[in-house]
Amino acid sequence: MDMEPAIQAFATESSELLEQVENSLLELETNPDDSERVNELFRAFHTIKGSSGMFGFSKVESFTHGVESLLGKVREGSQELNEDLISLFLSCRDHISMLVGNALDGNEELEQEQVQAGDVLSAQVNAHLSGSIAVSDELVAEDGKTSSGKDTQSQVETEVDGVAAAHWHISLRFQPDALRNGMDPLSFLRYLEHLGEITGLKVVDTTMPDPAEMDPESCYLGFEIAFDSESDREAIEEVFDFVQDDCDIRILPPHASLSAYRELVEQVPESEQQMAVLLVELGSICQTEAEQLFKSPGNLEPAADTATEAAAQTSVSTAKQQKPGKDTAPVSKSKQSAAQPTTASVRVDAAKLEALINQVGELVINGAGIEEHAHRIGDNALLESMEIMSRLVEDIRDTSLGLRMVQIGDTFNRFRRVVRELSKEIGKQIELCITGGDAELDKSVVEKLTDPLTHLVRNAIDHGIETSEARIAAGKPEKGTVTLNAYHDSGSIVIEISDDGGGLSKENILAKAQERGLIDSAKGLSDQDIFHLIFEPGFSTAEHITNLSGRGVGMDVVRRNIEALRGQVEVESSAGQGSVFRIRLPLTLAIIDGFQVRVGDARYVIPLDMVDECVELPREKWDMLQESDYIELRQQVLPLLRLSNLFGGNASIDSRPDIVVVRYAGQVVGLVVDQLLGEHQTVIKPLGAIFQNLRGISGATILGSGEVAMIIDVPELVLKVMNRGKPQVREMASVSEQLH
Amino acid sequence: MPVKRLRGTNKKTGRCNLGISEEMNIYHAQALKDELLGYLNTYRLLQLDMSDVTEFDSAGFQLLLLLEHAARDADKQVQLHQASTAVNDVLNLYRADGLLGSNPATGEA
Repeated sequence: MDMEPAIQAFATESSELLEQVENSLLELETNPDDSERVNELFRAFHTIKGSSGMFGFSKVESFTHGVESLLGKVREGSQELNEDLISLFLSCRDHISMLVGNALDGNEELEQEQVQAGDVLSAQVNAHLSGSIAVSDELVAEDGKTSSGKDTQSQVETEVDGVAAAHWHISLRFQPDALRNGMDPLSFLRYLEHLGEITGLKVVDTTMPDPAEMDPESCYLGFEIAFDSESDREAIEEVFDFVQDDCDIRILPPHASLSAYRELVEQVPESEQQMAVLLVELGSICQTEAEQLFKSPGNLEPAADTATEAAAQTSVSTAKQQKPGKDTAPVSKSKQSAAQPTTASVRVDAAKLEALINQVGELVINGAGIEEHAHRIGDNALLESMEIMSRLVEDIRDTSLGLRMVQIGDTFNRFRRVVRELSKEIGKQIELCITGGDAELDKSVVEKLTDPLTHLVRNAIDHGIETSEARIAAGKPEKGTVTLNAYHDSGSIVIEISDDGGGLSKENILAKAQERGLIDSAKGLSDQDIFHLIFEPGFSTAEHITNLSGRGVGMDVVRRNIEALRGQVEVESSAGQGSVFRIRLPLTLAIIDGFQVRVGDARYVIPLDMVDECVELPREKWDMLQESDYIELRQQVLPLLRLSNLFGGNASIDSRPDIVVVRYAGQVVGLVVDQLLGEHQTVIKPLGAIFQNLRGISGATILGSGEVAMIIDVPELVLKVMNRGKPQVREMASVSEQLH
Repeated sequence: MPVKRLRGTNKKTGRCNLGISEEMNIYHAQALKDELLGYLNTYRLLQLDMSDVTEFDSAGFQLLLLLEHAARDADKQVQLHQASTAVNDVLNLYRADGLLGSNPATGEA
């Protein structure tokens, strides 16, 4: 059998799991009581152990085994999860990562020091386990039991010991965030009705706080449902698949055992009394059963009756586990949920995606060609079909570009570890705040972003945040904060790295810049200009060079990396308050919505996301246009840029000029063009090396007619206008240079 | 303003007739909660006309539950006077026909 694909899958899976382990551990550091996280960790280690065993990676398996056992103790509460233990787990994670890497390279033999490191870790783990290794054996045994229990489920579910009721009983407790996440219980109940009949339903709202404290956007609803249906468990579970994360779901089969009901009653927040009334009213248990259930719990523990126990376990394990610690059999289920996180997904080769995007690009270009023909022919039916097709093409374009979009949160989360370790190393207390992690951007962009981000975060920690003493002296909280934030802004994504440290020192920057000969004098430089000096090659103001940063090779590389992505980086800072580094990136590198204009004989495309509005210039102002670089638009000064002057070409005298108002980074500029041609899907084709130094053009595209149109580089033009009449600090970065 | 005061409201009798606008859902839940609890503070009896409500979700339903609790705690009364189909559909599904003394005739499952 060819193991290659399976091993490949193992490689991806384990690296994902290890990443998840790291995140969970760091999360647990701030939130040690989060039992769901502990479960996640346990599952992850368990899966790694299992899979490596399957491939015969015995070193990984045996090392992970110990770690897993220790986690087992944490999970059952007999071992406290403190900071030392988290550090130990983190080191173990790294060791496992190394072992897995080695095993995958087919290199089972380790270096001497790696072996030693592993032995030290194992010894530490064992010390914590202190002789109670038996725990893990128990867990393994359980694992076997429950997975076999699943097979016999159908027989077990109709156990003679069960209750009289012949309907399913479904118990739902929605999490506070359910509504906010768009999970309305209504939709699930409505869907459930397709599978059978809801014969009884009780709304439970015991968790709802007093009116004053109640958050109307939170969900406090729970449901006990009697459900008559021929469907099997799987079908019923499927109904709630979507809401798994936002809801505690417990499903009891018809004639479920009384102990299964007891388990249910124990797990929900409602009192026994309340639950007894509800269950009896729903007919899920009858009065006598209720008495049996609640009055004499001792008699109901037929420990010898293994069948009943198995039944109880199956029903619990198949329901979504939300009450860890108590639970007995999460292992079989956890394997599945670790393999498929919240939503099912398919792995696709990046090259295939690339090909798809290219094909969609061609489709867009040719579609535009057909559209032009259709307009020329003027056949109504044809135009109508054309209309529909263009819309479909547009959808396909958006969807296929969306395929490459990933949330930036994963990238952000990696910095938790960086911050944790750096702050320990240099003895500063620093907290990392992450917001906007759900903003999406192109995967290829994300990959190239890691290095500059790392640099900026390291800088913020090393230079930005002051030492604890300095912070206290300045009347700030001892703990510094570094914030990572992301949001969308007119066709770009903005990523902010901010700290609440001392801010950039203008004097130091100026002094250093003069010393290095970057500037002659500080005359006429705005704060912005000064701050931007730090992005100059060979610039560093760190008075002490640490091994973290300060070698002066950083910021110019950051800028180059960002500009290579057609982005910009800017900095804002106020002394004593901290600094913000803002990276602005285009959302995608391939296809955009463009706005087509004509200047002279040539056509240009302006990225539609940056177009604010189009203004027709009244005739009486034409003359003004000839003389001035500004007009007044709704009592605001609007700087103008005449594209015909900029790009040359014969300006047409007869046509009335139009102004396209574009916006970038908060700055508004009017571009004077000869004619507006309307929206146009644009496939960006990079310009060749010859045009590297061409300014104001970011690429080219092919129009439906086969003509080539230039894509206007709005950021560059806006910059140009803003710098008009100002002393040039440095050569403006030419954006076309960054087109490969 | 998601809540409109209707005719028949009288500070002396402590009765307040309220008409709730189209959307009683999570998007307006905060505003609705504040307004409705405000009215409940001032008046003894709230009568809700929900015949205009076209969008009613679980957040809206929760608000009714909340009003019921709040009224009970303050020894006041909130009555659901008229309800649109959208509202009745939800109440039926949640088997909450009797909530706020709503009309059982419209609440038949």
